[in-house]
Order: sequence, then C-alpha cells, then structure tokens
Amino acid sequence: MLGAIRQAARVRTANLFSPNVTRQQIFLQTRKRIYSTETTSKSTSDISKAATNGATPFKGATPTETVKEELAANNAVKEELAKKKGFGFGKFILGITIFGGIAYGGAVYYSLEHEDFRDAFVEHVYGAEKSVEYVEDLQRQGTFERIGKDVKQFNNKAFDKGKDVFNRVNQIFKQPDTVKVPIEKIVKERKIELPEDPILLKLTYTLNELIDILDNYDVKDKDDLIKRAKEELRELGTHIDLLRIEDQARIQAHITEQNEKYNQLYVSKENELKRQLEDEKKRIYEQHYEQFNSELARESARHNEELKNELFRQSVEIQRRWIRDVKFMVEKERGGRLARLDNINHHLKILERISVDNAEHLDDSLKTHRLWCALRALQNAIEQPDRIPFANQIAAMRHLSSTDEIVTTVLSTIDDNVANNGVDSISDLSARFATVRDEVRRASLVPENGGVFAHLLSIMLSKVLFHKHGLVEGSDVESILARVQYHLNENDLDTATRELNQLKGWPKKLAEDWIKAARNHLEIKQAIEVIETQATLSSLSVV
Amino acid sequence: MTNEEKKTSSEDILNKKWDLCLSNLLVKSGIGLSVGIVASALIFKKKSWPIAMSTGFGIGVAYADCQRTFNPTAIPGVKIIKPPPS
Repeated sequence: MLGAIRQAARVRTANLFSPNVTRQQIFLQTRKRIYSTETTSKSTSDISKAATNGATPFKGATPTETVKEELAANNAVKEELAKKKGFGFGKFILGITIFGGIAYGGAVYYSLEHEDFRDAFVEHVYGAEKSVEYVEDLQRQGTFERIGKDVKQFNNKAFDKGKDVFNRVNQIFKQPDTVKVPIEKIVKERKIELPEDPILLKLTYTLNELIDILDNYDVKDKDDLIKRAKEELRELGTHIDLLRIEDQARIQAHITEQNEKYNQLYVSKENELKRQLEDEKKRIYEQHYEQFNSELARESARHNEELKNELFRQSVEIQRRWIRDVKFMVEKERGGRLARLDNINHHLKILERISVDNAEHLDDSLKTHRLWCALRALQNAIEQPDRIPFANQIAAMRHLSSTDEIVTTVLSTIDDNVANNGVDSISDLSARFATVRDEVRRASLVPENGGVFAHLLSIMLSKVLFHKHGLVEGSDVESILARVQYHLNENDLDTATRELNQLKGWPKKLAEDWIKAARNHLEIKQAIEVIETQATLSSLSVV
Repeated sequence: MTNEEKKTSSEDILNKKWDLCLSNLLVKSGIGLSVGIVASALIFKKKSWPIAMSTGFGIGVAYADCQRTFNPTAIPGVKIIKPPPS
C-alpha cells in the first residue's frame, strides 16, 4: 500500500512537470492507481508489486523505472515542442521585424516626397516624426547626393580601370603591326617618289602597284619600262607645274590691272568731293556774315532808344525834387511862428495834468495812511491778552478802502461773529493748550465706542503713560501733543494747529474748540498780512 | 439772566459728563438706599438684603444712565456695522 501511495505521489508530481501529457496518459495513470489500490488493500507489498506490475500494460518495468521513462518522454516532447515553438516563433518574429522595417523605411521615403502622406504618417505612427525629420536633415545636408556622387565616382574609376586593362591587353596583341611598317618604306623607295599633287599621287600609286606586279613576273625590258614610266611621270609633273605657274602669272597681271583702274577712279572721286566741300564752306560763311550785320544794326538801334528813355526819366525826377525842396523851405519859414504858439498851449496842458495828478496822489496817500492806522489798531486789538471785539476797526477799514478790490474782498471774508467777539492771542491759546492737553491725555486711551468703564480705565491708565517732549515723530496722541507744544514754543500757531488737527476720535472732539479759536486767529492774522502788503504797495505808489 | 448759558468749550465735554455721572450716581444710590431702608423696615422684617439690593438697583440705574451719556449709540441689542471702506 505504501508503494502504491508513493507511486501515486510520483505520478502526481510527474503530472505537474509535464503539463502536455495527453489525457490518455492521465487516464491510464489513474487506472493504474485504482488497480494498485485495489490490490494492495488486500495484500502485502509483494502482492502490490505484482499487481502494479500487472496493472502497467505498456511497460513491464518497475514503477520507478516507468515513471522515469515517462518523465524522460515528457521532457523529450516538451523539448520538441519548445524547439518547434522556439524556432517557429523566432522565424515569425524575424519575418515581422523585417517586414515592419521595410514598410517603415518605405513609408519614410514616400513621405519625403508627398506632404499629405507625411502628415498622416507622422500623426498616427509613433516615432515617425523623428525618423522623417532625421532623414530630411540628412537630405538637406546632402548626404544622399554625396553618397550618390561617391558611388558614381567609384563606378567611373572602376570603368576606367577596366578600360585601361582592356587597352593594355589589346596593345599586347597588336605588337606584330609595327614590324610591317618599315618593310613598306623600304619597298617604296625602290619605286617612285611621291609628288604633292593629289591626282599625280593617285597615278603614282597605280604605277607602284603595276611595278609590284611586274616585279613578281619576270618580263624583259622591265627596267626600261619602269624607267620610261618614271621619266614620263616626272615630265607630266613638270608640265603641270609650268601650267600652274603660267596661270598664276596671268592672274597676277589681271589683278594689277584691276587695281590700277580702281585707284584712278578713287582719286578722281576724291577731287570732286573736295571741290564741293569748298563751295559749301564759302556759301555758309557769306550767309553768316550778312546775318551778323543785320543783328548788329538792330541791337544798336534799340540801345539808343533805351538811353533816350533813361535820360528823359532822370530829368523829370530832378525837376520834381527841386520843386519839393522849394515848397519845404517855404513851409518851414511859415511854420516857425505858429509852432511857437502851439508849444505854449501844449505846455499848459501838461501843467494841468500834473496838478491834477498831484491832487490825486495826495488823496491816495492820505487814504493809505489812514488804512495803515486802522490796520495798526486792528493788530493791537488782536494782540491784547483778552478778547477784544474789533468790528469798529474793520468797518473803518472798509470805509477807507472802498476803491481797493483786494482789501474789500479780504475784509468781506472775515466772519461777523469773529469780529464781534474778538480773537484770542497766541499767549491765550498757549495757556489754553495746557488744559486741552491734560484733557486729551485723559481721553487718549478711550476706544471708539467706549462706555463708562472704558473712560474710567483711560483716565486711570493715562496717568501711567510717559510724556513726550520736543519734535518727535509718530502719529499717536503723545507725539502729536509733544509736537504741538514744540511749535507753540516757537510761536508757530499754523503748524501747531495743523498737527492738532491730526487727532482722532475723543481727543479730537475735546480739542475742537481750541482748533477753532486758533483758526480764527490765523485767519485774522492772514487778512491783516494781506492788507498790510496792499497798504505797503499803495504807499509805494506801485498800485 | 442770560437767555443761553455760556457754551461749554470742547475740552470740558468729558468733564461735564463725569459731573453728570457722579451726581447721578450719588442721587440714585441715595434714593435706592432710602427706599431699601424703608422697604426693609416695613415689608421685609428688618432683613439686610433688601437695603443692599435696592442700593444696587440705584447704582445700576446710575450706571446705565452714565453709559448712555458716554456712548449714546450703544443701545442694547443693536450693533452698528461700519460700511466697508470703498
């Protein structure tokens, strides 16, 4: 039984390792197992062995051996399949790659030419843009042209080299030709010398051939014939030369005759033309001479006319001037006495005007003096330690400066209340500021909507605050108060008021009255300054 | 007899308010005290707590009046929202 179990276990592991074992094999194995368990359940290991032996129909070996064989077989099958698969798969991949590469290359090449295809290709295929651009760059750099040129050059070189070789081979084969030439030369010398004339040349060649033929046959008087032929050929040659020379002489004579004739004609023509030129010249010269004379006469006549006109005009001018001068002198004499009377009248008028001006000036200066007095009175009133109403002074000034626009305007800006109540002086305001300052300090810590306790706290805590002095920077209450005190010490009420105006909230409300009083004072002071300047200017009689 | 009283100068506003407050406090607490004493004597059998309570009422009323003088806008139950700065 143990053995069967072991076998079963082994079979199972074998199954794991060989997944491609066929169904039939599995079936067989299971049947084996069943049989084995059946038998071993009844018997001992011997019987089980026998049973298992009996249960293995196809192999009569021990279970371990059969299993081993099975494993081996499975491995073999697996290897086969793997090989087949590996080999087939590899081939498939290779084929696909090659095809893909060719297709890609073809697409890139096609896209170089056609724009539409290029756009579609670049859009849909990954990496196509880079390769197309790369190829285009190469194209632009002319690598393709270079490669093409190189290839062509190489082709040419190869072809040339081939031709060289072929020529050399041909030469080697053509060697025997050179041997023949000198033999021909020698043979020709024996025959006739070659004349220059082409017709004679032909004749000599035929004669040479005849001589050749004669040489081959042995004919009597061969040499005589040859010599006679030579002689006659030479005579013919000389005859032809003579004829040629005669011809040439005749032609030359004809030419010289013609030359002479034409020369004569030319000379006669020349003489005729010269005569004509002379005639023309003379005629033109006479024409010009006449023209010139007539022009000259005309010009002189005109010039005379002009001179006469000029003379006439000048005489008229001189006469007129003389008359004017005479008139002028008469007038001068006459005007002398009348002018004196006019002068006196004129002087009188001037004197009148001066006296009137003088009176006016006196009035003005009187007014200005009065204005000055009133102004002084006003200033006095303002600088008193108590409030003194100055309405009277203002009324007086108004009356005095009814003509002055500026002064009236300024006076109209002064409030009636202020005039009736008077203004505080700077010392008053400084003293008052002390109380204001204490009050402001007490209210400085009150928040915006503070109630009783806020005010109480502010009062108590403000006693703990440090006081500041001098010209300190800052926008808190203490700094502002310090600055105002500083300005008041310098009697600068304007800046002090401006500073105090920067308070906010309860402190501002407490300081309002003081600010108003200071403002009034400043307004009055400004008005006084303006009137003062006006009075100064008018007293200098600039206005 | 002047028709209008002398106007208070601005630096005395708070002082006037304090005067009002304090006088109010004294008067009202005094009234509260007296009412408390009377009530304690008559109604509450000579206990001490009504006196304290009544005085307290008086002080409270004075405080409320004070609060109103110093901050008239702080009405209970009303909050003033400032418009956002534009």
